[in-house]
Amino acid sequence: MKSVAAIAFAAFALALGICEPAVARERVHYIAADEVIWNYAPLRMNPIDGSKLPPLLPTQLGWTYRKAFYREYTDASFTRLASISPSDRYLGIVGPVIHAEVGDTVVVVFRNRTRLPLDIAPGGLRSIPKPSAVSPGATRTFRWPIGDADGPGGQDGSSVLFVYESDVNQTADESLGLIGPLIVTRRGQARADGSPIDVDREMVALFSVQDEFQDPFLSLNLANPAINPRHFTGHEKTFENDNYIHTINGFAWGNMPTPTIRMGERVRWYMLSTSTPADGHIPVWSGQTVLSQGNRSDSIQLVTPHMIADMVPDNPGVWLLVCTLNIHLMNGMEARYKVVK
Amino acid sequence: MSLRFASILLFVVGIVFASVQPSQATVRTYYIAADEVVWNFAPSGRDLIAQKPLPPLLPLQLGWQYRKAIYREYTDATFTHLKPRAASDAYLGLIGPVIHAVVGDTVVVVFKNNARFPLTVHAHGLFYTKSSEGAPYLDGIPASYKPGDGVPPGKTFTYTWQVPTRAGPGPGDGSSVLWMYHSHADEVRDVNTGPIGPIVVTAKGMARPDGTPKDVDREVFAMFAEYDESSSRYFASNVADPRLNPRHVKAAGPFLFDDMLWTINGFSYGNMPMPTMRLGQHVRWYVMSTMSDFDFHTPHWHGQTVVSNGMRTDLIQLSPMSMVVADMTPDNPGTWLFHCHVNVHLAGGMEARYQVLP
Repeated sequence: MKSVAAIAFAAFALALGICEPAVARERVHYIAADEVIWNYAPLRMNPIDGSKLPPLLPTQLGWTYRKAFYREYTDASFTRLASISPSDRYLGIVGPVIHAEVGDTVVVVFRNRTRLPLDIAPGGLRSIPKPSAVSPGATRTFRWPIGDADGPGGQDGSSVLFVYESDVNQTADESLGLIGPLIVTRRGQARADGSPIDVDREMVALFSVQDEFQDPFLSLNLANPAINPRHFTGHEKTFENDNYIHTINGFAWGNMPTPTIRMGERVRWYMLSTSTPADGHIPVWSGQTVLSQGNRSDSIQLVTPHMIADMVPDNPGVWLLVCTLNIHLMNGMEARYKVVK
Repeated sequence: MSLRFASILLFVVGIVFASVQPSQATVRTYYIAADEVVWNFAPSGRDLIAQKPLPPLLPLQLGWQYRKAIYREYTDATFTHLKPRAASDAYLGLIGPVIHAVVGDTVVVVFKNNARFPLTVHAHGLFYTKSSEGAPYLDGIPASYKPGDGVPPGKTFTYTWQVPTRAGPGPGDGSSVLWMYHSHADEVRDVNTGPIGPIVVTAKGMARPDGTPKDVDREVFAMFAEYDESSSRYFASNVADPRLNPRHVKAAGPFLFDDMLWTINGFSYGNMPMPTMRLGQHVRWYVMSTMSDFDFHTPHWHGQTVVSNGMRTDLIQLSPMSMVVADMTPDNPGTWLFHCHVNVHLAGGMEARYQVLP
């Protein structure tokens, strides 16, 4: 009798544990906007075809520019960058991946370490008012409650994607490089870290034409002989056109470190885009197919700033992930990914 | 053991064996060559939709004819006899043979390159190993293992592609999906040069023996392409050919606006032979696009509606290298317009007609 009671109790406890509503969590991130000298092609070659980088355009500064990125720190002292695992190096300029389950509150302690007024705000969330700018050097805490209307809809999988960015001056701030993903998982379908339980590997790819002419750091870049060794003034007729850099995660011409995924894993690709007039991308994967909105394909239309595609790799090897738009592909918007057994 | 028991056992074993035996996996072999042709984008010499002469040539436009390379189907490995195309398929124009496959099949393409530069056959969606990818880049595999990455002029290479579940319809798709195949030796230039074709993959159990979906009466294919002839591999030789360049225009590519042609299946200004269909048929339209910078199209059917991605519409969206399926049950007889709704494309001749017979 005793043992039966114990079993019943255990079963009851188990049931209770299963039925217990998910705990609403506060997910705290310490994120700074940092000024960084960024090289779009650190390998100084194109590892996809083994060729040299194309010659600089007549009025192109080079491959290196001063930018500002969102970076994650370990705590409110903002003294130590959160470590980035080698498998996530491919993320490049993409801001920290923020996860939340519906019902959670994302708390972003934001420090603006640049010389420009900036903020950090998620696009598309229902309840977030547009913040006022955070002055250079200042710190402010933002709270983003994630409501039901922010989670996956009936047609969506277990998670949806939003972008967060600085919208003090959206076009200019995007040109700085301030953008990152906010992944919202359906209530009850999240792991403790907020990622969806039915996904083994989350990948993030940001397709972006970086418009260095619109970059608020343009005058700084022009004044820096290390960045502007040919001493352009920025008033040259071709200058704007020559200083568009076509990037995936901030890398041009295949310079993105090759991320590795495993055969049979349930991989979810979160695809982001900036929204300059030159953006509007058609990412295409070779070697595997994806499911997006229930349709089988090998490409997606990234004309909106964010899309999701699910992949179960079945084909080992090194494969291409490129924008199939002629002018983007011919200007270096290409990367590789690797599938291992 | 009684004989009766034994026979029952044998019967049961037979049933089990028959039910677990995999359905016959089919190998579908196609003999496809890349052939050089002089292609006329407006063979009637007229705008057949407005019933008027073609618009005057632009200053740097060679004309309406350009040498191109296109995929064509042959009867066997000797590549001596073209497989005839039915009159009802004449509207396919310069798009290559339709490859049909069913989930579980293997597709074999014996490819002969009759053009004067290396070309390949690269498939979307199907499972290929590196030796059958047909796209050269640094992937850690020595080039010597990948002769299909650039088939030299006059040579033949056999590509083998598997058709696993992931190449077939997804949960939101109908009984078949569209992929494409095209040359990927020098991708941007190759696609402007011409070799490209459609692949239809039908769900297991939903196919006729020829691979077409059982629940579809008529399959129609349409490729919306902005051909930048100045990016074609033949452009320099086309400029030098007085037959193709009678005005001796001095032009050099790439990206010459005057030598961009807005086409459906390689035809402009209504010159596409009209595909026909009958009232009440289940017609499946497979619509695709090429990869030029202006290949954003909004094909619009007059006269009928379609269902695409579960939505009723008469207009779909294409972006570069799109592959979209739209189902139509014609209920309105007549000759109807099918055209791109982007102003500059429509003005440039990206328009065709289709016919619904009673």
